[in-house]
Amino acid sequence: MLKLHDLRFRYTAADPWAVDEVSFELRRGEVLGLLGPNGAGKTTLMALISGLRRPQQGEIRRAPEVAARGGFALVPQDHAFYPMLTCRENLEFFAGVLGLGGSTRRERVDAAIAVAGLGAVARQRASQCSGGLKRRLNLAIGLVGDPQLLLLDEPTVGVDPQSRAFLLETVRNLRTRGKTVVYTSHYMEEVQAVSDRVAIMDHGRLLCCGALDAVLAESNPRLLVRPAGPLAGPVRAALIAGWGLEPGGGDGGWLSFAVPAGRPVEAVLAELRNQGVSVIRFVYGNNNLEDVFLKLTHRSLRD
Amino acid sequence: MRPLLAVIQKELRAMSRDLHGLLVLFVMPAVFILIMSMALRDTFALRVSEKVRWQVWDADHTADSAKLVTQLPPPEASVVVRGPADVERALARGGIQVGLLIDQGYSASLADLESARAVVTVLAEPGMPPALLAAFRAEVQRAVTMQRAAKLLEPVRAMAQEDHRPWPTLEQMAGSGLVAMKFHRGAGAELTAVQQCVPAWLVFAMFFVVIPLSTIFIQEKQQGTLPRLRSLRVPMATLLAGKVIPFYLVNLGQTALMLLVGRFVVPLLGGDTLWLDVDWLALWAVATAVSLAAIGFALAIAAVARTTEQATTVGGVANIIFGALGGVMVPKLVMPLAMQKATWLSPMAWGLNGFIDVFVRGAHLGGILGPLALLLGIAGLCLVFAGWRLREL
Repeated sequence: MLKLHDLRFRYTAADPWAVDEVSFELRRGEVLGLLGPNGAGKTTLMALISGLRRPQQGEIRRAPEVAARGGFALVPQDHAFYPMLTCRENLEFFAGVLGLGGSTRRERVDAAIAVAGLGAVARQRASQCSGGLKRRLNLAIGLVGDPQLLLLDEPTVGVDPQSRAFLLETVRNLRTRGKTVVYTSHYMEEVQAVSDRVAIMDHGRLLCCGALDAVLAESNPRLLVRPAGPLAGPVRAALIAGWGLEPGGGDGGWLSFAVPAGRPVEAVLAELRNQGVSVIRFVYGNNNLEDVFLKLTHRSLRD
Repeated sequence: MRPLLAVIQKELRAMSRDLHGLLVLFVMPAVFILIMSMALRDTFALRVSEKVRWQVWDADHTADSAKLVTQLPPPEASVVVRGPADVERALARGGIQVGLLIDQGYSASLADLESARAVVTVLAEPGMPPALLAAFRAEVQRAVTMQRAAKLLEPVRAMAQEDHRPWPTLEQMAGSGLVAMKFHRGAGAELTAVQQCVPAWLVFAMFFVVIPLSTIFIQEKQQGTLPRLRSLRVPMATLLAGKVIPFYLVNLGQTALMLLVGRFVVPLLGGDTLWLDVDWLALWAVATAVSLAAIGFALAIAAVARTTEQATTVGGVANIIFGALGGVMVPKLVMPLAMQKATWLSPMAWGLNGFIDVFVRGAHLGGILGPLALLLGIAGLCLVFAGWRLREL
């Protein structure tokens, strides 16, 4: 559906590459979560995919249904609509610029209103809508042309938990309807919740791209331990040196261990007991994307 | 075509909900036309229409001095003047605009060609309009001249009467009926305050589209709607045409409203009536050229400015400078010659000259090609520049 090959882009010759040798392929009907901190290059990559910017190197191949007018839609981070128009008027306008008219336009507008749950505020000016409703309108405008590919750039920034849940559910529904979605965010839990595949970007480069499970499996399993009291200095040093305790850990009373492959977790817990550490709770299981990101970039996603 | 219609409809809807923008575009120029048409009425009039408030102190107390007073417009009749000090007090209070002081010896000086002493003094209040004062002084000078001519010709009149020959009156001798004053107007009208103010403030108002147009455009850039439209492959030409056409319609609406104000509202307040027996094709051509130049200028500002504050400041200040320089705020005819030549630096002056050519000189399309070429030229340059600047949106 979409193929990116060695894309490079920078805003001026003096700037570093905002997108640097990015390649990936997007398959029909999948949701690709594009994860990265602010300034990683996600929005620039979206601008390249949507044709707003031209890559200085590399190429983008689009399937005919995507290349056709209205074949894809960009839902930008900003509230990219007209606050003085009503929600319905906004949708009618964007349908109109896509060349839709008459009953087709009415049907598409009604459908977008229904999908985004805007029925109660359709005749309300966009400026008078809450933050969550504005986000839904932003998404609805993207849906009004019934695109095959939807590029969602941080669609849940600044919304309440209910609206966030609604938006995520809408994205999942789009996937069931066979739509292809690129979902950028710096909220790992969102990307993890909606994506089939995940791509992680930092400093313009694509650090990894693959199926969610495969990406999660790339980092070591993590053990979180809550001791009964603070660790003595020598004990902490011994655990860091020999048992994978991460230096500086202990936020909220939890210690974080990166358990190397092949080492049983029971052994780590036994060593803690040997060191005189009384464990009152522990959590062991799959990694999350934050761990993967930390491993790949050596910094937190929200830095 | 459908995308263009959608953009135009959106623009008109957005404008119709912008109360402040509508006030600036429609109410502000109408109010300016009303105020300035009344304020400048005497600047353009051949005769002084306002009655001068004046008093006289006649120290001569002769038949000649009394006759001088009767030959002038009537003074403030109810006031008893006991001396020049009364006149000066009335001037200081602002109760009168002019005091006429006739010295003792006025009658004798009429026949005395050797005397150079001023015997009549026109004492004016400093804030009096210069045109009004000059007209009153001319009336006094005319009356004195005719009295002196009568006095000097008295022996000739006596001989004529002895010979039973007719003797002309003072009015006949002055021959004022022999000179007529007219404007060469071709098919046009006399340049009155309303004929000047309607086109002047209309041009100013048309250029004021820079404020709403650039504000909307920059908000679209900042809020991401323009990039979003570009991502939907809406051509830049469609987006620009979607701005030009609605604001052109607004400019035509402004033109119609200002003409109606000049024709029907200004006369209700005592001003002149806007003369509209013009070549309507030529009038439409000038209005269209001014509109395109104004919209082009607004789009160029919108393309360069990064914030609405920048656009409104630069656009607003540029408009005021264009207006001051172009003869909108101060009519060109009261400017010194060098400033009159400098008006050509302002696009508003090109539009104003085109309108004045149509309204006052009765010009047809062929007579306004110069202003049209300049306006359309600047419109084209600005639109090309805006399109070039916005190509990467």
